[in-house]
Amino acid sequence: MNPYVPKPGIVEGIRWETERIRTFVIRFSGWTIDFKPGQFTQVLVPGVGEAPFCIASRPSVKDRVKITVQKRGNVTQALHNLKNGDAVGLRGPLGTGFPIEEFKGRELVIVGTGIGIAALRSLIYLAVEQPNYFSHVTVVYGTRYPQDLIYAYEYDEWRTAVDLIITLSRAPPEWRGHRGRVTEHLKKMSFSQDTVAAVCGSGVVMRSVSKLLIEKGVKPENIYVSLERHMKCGIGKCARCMISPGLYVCKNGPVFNLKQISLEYIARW
Amino acid sequence: MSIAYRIPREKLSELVEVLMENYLVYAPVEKAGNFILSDVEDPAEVTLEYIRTINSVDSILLPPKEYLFKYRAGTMSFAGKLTAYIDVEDYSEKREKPLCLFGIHPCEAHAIKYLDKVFSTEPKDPYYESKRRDMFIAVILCDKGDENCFCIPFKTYIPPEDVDLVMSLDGDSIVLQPFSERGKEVVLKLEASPTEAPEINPPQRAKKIDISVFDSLTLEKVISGDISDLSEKCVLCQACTAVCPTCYCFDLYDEPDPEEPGAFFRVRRRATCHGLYYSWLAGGEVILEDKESRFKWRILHKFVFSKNMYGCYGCIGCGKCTAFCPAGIDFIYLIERLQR
Ligand SMILES: Cc1cc2nc3c(=O)[nH]c(=O)nc-3n(C[C@H](O)[C@H](O)[C@H](O)COP(=O)(O)OP(=O)(O)OC[C@H]3O[C@@H](n4cnc5c(N)ncnc54)[C@H](O)[C@@H]3O)c2cc1C
Ligand code: SF4
Ligand code: SF4
Ligand code: FES
Repeated sequence: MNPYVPKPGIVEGIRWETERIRTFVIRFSGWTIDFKPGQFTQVLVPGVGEAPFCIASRPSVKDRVKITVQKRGNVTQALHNLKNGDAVGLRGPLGTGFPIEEFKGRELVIVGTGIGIAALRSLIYLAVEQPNYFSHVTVVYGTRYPQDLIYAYEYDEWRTAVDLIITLSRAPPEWRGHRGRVTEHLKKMSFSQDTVAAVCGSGVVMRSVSKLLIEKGVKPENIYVSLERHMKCGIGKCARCMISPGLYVCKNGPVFNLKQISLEYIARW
Repeated sequence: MSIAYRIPREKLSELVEVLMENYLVYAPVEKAGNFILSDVEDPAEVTLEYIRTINSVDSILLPPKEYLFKYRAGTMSFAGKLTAYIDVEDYSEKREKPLCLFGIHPCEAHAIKYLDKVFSTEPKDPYYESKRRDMFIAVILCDKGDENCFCIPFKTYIPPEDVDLVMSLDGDSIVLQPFSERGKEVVLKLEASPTEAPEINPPQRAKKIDISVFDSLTLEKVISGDISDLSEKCVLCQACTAVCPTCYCFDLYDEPDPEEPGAFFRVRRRATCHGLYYSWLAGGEVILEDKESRFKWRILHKFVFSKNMYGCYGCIGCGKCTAFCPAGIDFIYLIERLQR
């Protein structure tokens, strides 16, 4: 099997999340997927190119995936131009994902900011689909403005299984919910030696969240961050995604615990 | 196999000819005063006397630009349902014969072993594998070298055991020592007289530095060191990474087929960590933003990351990056500075 060749899929649904973010449902043409929360896929817009996206759908669904795409450059713009019924290509699932077997029966805290919540959505779905999988789940999700929030249509479903804290760092006066950065809310919480954390956001946010969690007693090996690096091959060949002390984010990650990589290398080379 | 054979130097082209019957031979040839590893058309142009070729084995196994496949994607109705298709046509270069790398120095054969660790491990790279399959490797022992060579600490002047043929120059003759059955078959096609296998000595002029210089490089040392005065001189020409036999970073992108609208090529192009685009992230952040960080990155990749990922160093000590740097930046000096 040639690992560079994508498999066909068809756009079957498009949801406008925000002005710059859309979620696509892609149904596979003649194949199925078996993925772990935290894994990603290389999505091809024919003629334009590939870009990596986290799989943001229910792990139990095998014949299609959802990806949530923020408009950035060539490929992401081309994705935003797609219509229902258009063909795309996919490679994956790629990467290792969260070690969910090790999470079983434990307290889980999920921290996402901005588009980073997309990387954590399949983990939230797992909690929703299997309410007894974890002993307790808290989701702390932060953005700047209310109009940046995505997946709002699902929060009620999430709340059936998780404690959901949505916080805005630049909330307008009329905002009735939580205010401030995610770290301000994490500061008020308490964790056990056994708590596991799943974190995704910008490098700087992941570093400050991780630092705080360690201070609050969460063990570094129980803190999992989902990293972003420039990726091309997605299979550990092109070396574009390497991080200290010598790991491919695409192949060995993108999810790492803080024993595998140290705090200071989350946001730098 | 310690038996060796001797042929007169005039028979070099005959040896190349024998190989050309079964292989597509790449060997050092002189072009405009430089030595280049090039596909051989005329066996007489092949030379075994050179210090270093500009290009390296990686430029053959991972060409600067390579068309991987051509594809057409679209949708069609199938049993009343719309489905997508991607028709893929292999577009990689086809060869009738396997490749032979003839007359490369032992250090470059070690570079191939390093690239194997990247490209021939799961998931295997089919394009690399197709070039590497049945490849015949004939090395020439390196006796002189120059002040930029530092193969001694890595012992890469000693050929790896799985090459096919080891050659050395001895006065008016060439001594051929087959390391494989295939190597032996080739030698037996020539009128060669048995002789003693040559001794393998380090190149005379290579730097005599100790392996501890590299063994003691740590992530912390490299990151905290200050080499900005040296990196400042870099003109970003990217020669260092282009000539390096063990550099393997690449880009993948799609290109339209000018002859067939709707069809596209997946292209692989070699990339360099000395370029700005190398580590650009979606948020606009560049991981390797200044020149110093790129030098440190290259050193980390070769000595710290490779050790973690592949259990060996990603540098063979060929000295090309120093020899071909127009700004005169000395790779070993960079490393020595980071040791302080
Ligand atoms: C493992 C992983 C998971 C990701 N998941 C998501 C997700 O779920 N949703 C989402 O919106 N985004 C995600 N991203 C980011 C997304 O891949 C980039 O936004 C996208 O690659 C930009 O491509 P482009 O062609 O639109 O941009 P380009 O036109 O190529 O360039 C725009 C900017 O993006 C940078 N960039 C280009 N290609 C890549 C690349 N392959 N990786 C990283 N940066 C790149 C460029 O250097 C430039 O700064 C993820 C990235 C990674 C590595
Ligand atoms: S060869 Fe020298 S000048 Fe050119 S990119 Fe490399 S270090 Fe810089
Ligand atoms: S000496 Fe320079 S060019 Fe040669 S392998 Fe080492 S880094 Fe590459
Ligand atoms: S994306 Fe190519 S090695 Fe990770």
